[in-house]
Amino acid sequence: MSIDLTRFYESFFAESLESLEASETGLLALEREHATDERLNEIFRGLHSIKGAAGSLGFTGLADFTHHVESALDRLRKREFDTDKPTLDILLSCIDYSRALVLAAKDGRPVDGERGQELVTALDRLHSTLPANGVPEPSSVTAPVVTDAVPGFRIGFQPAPDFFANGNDPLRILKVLSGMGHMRTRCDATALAMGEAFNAERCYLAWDIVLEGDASREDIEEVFSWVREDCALSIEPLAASAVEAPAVQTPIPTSAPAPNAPPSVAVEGAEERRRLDRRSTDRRSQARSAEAEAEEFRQERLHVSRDKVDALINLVGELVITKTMLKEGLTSLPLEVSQRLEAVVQQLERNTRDLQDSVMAIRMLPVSHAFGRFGRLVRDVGQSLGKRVDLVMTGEQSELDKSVIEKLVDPLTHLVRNALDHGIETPEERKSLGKPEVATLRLHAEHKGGNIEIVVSDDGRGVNAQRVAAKARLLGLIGEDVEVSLERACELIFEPGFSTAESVNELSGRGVGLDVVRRNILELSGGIRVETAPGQGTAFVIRLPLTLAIIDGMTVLVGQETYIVPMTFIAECVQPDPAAIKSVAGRGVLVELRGQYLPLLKLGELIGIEACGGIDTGILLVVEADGNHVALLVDSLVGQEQVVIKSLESNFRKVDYIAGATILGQGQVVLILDVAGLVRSAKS
Amino acid sequence: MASIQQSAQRELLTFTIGEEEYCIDILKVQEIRGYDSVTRIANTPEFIKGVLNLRGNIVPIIDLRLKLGLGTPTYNETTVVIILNIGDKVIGAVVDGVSDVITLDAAVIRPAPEFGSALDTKYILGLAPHEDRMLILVDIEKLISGREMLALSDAGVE
Repeated sequence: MSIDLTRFYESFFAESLESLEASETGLLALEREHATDERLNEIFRGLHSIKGAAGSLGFTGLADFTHHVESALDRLRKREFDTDKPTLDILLSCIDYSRALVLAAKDGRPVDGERGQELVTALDRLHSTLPANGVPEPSSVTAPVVTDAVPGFRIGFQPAPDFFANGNDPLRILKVLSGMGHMRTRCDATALAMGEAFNAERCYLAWDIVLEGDASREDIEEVFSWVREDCALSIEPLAASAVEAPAVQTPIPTSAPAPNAPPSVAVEGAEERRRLDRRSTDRRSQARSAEAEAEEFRQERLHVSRDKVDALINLVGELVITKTMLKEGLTSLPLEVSQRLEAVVQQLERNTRDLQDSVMAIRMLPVSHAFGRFGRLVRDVGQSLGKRVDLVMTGEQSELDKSVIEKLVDPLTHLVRNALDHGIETPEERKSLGKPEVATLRLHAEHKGGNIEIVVSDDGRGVNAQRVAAKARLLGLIGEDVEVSLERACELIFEPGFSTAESVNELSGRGVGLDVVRRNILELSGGIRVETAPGQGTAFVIRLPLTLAIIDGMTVLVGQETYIVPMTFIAECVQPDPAAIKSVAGRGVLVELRGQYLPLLKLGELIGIEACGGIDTGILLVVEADGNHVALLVDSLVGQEQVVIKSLESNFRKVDYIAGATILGQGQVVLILDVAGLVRSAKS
Repeated sequence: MASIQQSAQRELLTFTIGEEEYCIDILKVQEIRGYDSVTRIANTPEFIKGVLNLRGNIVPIIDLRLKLGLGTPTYNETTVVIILNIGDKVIGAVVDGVSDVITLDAAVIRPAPEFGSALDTKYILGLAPHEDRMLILVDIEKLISGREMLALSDAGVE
């Protein structure tokens, strides 16, 4: 019987791309921090799960290639070579190639096999630059060469077999040591008994530890003071130690002289043989644990198609409406009945709200999904521009609706490239300005009420009002002799076609400007603003609703009709003062509000309702979009509520001034105003 | 022969608008319901009455009397909405009343005569005599898709 594997393809592709991204993030982190076991395992796990799945689904090319990468990563995990830049470059290229393979498999395209072969060769070379090979390449930095300058100790630690029985825990000791400096360890599991001989209460393991740092011999001895009787221990200064990555010596007392000898081919050969032996036993246990880890990783996640989640969200929306109808129906019942039912309805209300929250949470993903790719982008673009940039991400665990995240990637990419291209200066320029040569690019996310704020900031040159003004004059956006304040400049950069880039390059000068960014953000019912200080940097602050499916809305009445205005656009609500209404040239009407003149839009007029109140009885909603404020006249405010957005377009089409529809408690359809559209129309 | 005869038969839903009787392919009909108040949409042509909540779906409602230019409609208890499936859209059409489901032989359907410019007949598939009445067979998709219902079929045209 054959099983149709194709139905697994889609989730395999999605999972693989996710895994690759996780591994890529891990690799990028290695550029900045020391390689912890956890980090290396994370990187390894991504490739390992792809290899396994690709093999079982019949994507042999992908399985083969990822197998090579995986084994390289496995060697990295065992610290057989170091994570220096050339190594990381190769590994990152491998991630790229794996991604290309996944995408090619997805689209059924052929792949560039030569590139794969090159990378495999490069990976194998990583292996062969080991000192064990006998011919270390001078250029390679793969083996950590310990020089006299590095203070520290090499510690051989072999607990006695009854170590645990005496209440000791080697892990705790290792943890204490790791806090004393930069620690690299190698575990020797050769003594490990297999099968029935294995006794869980016996300690079979030994460790070889290189501890770099200022810790003194006394400090280290102190750590071992409790277990001195229960283990074989050797502590030697690093300078006198071997120049190779820690190799396990067993048993420890006899190995003591070996590290002092300069590595000779003969010794290395023997050492290599022993290592190979050891590796074969090691690998069995390590491979098993990796599989278990990968399995655990898979079981924690569930790949569900979006349609199913959307259907669920729809149903919950219906449930919310039904609940409201039930609650309203309650009031028409005789008192004794309604009292009995009230508690039940309240319970229903609570449960519905919890259900709604949980269902919405399914679509929520941490912002790191959008931020993740920028590590690579900043690295590559920074390199090609010759700029040194440190990317700092904060708050990336803040959660956001998946569909919002997807639509956020393009605007964010644009802002990041913009910062790299225009904002950040070259190292020389920064140096001459007395700034640190390495610039900092910050991505920050933070929940604020029902919104999320995402900030892309750099410590570069900031917005230059003069240059913006010059460019704006050139484009005819402003008159020849108009003075441009910094605030005005920050507005101008969002004008269509605006770009101060002196040279058009592939990065920022692609004919699209910040106006596109702003439009994209507006489409998500959000807003964007700029904060800048010349010479100190620029920050783009994006504000977005957490989800596109449910919004907070203000219910307003115009004549007999009800409309909903998304809260995110409302700046304030004011009672109009008839004296504050000014007309311009007999046509345009303005409202004066605290010294500012805002265009006045009468909602009733815009949507063709005659029977609506005038300016003296109505109320003004000051709404903001695109950085423009507009006063919107409505008859009255009804209240604020959460509404489920439904598309008008699914059965009809886009209508001017209308963003969508929702269903209120009594089951009637209420339209949601497209504030951005209204504001645009006021401008033109 | 019998099978050909079979396939040449069409099941149609007949409905009335004023004095006229129309019929449409029954396979386009999802359900029939009474006329309910709808939510008006500003800046749309008059024949688009608004939108309706159909079990959580927002469904646009078109008044066929207005669309066909047959005078001012009055809405009462017998006014019905035919919920239609057109492409992947759900649309409601208001008519005066639904009369019957009939089976017509394709052979009896006569092509609509040319009315010249006086009447646009592109949405009329044909005319059919039925129990001494005349039925107007309508291509409902052609009838209600158009510039005003843009997104329906010719989304690219504006």
